[in-house]
Amino acid sequence: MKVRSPALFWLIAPASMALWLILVTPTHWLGFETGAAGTGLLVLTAWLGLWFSTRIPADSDSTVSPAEVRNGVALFFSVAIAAFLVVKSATILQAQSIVDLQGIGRTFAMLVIGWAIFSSILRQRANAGVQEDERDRAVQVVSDQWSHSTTCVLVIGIAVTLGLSPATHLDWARPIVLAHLLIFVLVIANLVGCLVGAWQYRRAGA
Amino acid sequence: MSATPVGNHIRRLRFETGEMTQSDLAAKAGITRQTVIALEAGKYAPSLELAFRISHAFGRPLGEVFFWTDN
Repeated sequence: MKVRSPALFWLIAPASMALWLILVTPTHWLGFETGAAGTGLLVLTAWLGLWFSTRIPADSDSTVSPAEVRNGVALFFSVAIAAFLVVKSATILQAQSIVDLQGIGRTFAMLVIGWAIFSSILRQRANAGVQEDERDRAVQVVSDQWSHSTTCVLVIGIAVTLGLSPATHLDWARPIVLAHLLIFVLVIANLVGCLVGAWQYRRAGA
Repeated sequence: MSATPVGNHIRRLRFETGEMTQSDLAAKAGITRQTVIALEAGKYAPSLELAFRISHAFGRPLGEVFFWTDN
């Protein structure tokens, strides 16, 4: 897939700006909610990327299948969400109630919704031909296995930590923190699945 | 999904069948063009069903398209 440098710039620049708004700036800045603005910009950039990809002729030298593109999008959004949760971890650890996390929750929800909408658009692309075949499904099966194993290992790790740690070391384990920890586990499990999928596609060397 | 013991003559057969493009073969077999590329590179072993569909696309018996390698 050959993309000219100016086109690449118009994808990287707004995506960087969006990630900066989501991850670096405070929740509210100059009177607007930065997370929501960043997520909107991120989805717009993703849509722009999709539009660019439709400009490339169908019989080009592209070695990337539609399912691999979707895996890449899932990887991108998973990394963005995981990074967002890590950056906001200090705020989450100090939160006493859900009111303290409203800005974070809204940005998180918008990232997930943006991802879902974008994935749906990708699936419904007109004139896209075969979207998925048995090779993609084989990759998906292995990715799902890794994702499932990661979820099991992390949840067991949390359960063991909570069960065997002295109560004095579990001050942090408030329901709101545990809820976010479990959300983080799901995001990491999905991220691992996407990484394994990307690795398999690269290994297949199509 | 590394090198597979199932070899094939897909690339040669495409050229012998009126220079069929990878996209044409993909459309006939109901797969993506990237899977055709992976098959030609010997990095993907097709299911029996897909092997039959590809053979059917060339109008050849299965054994003339796919073969077993002893590596």
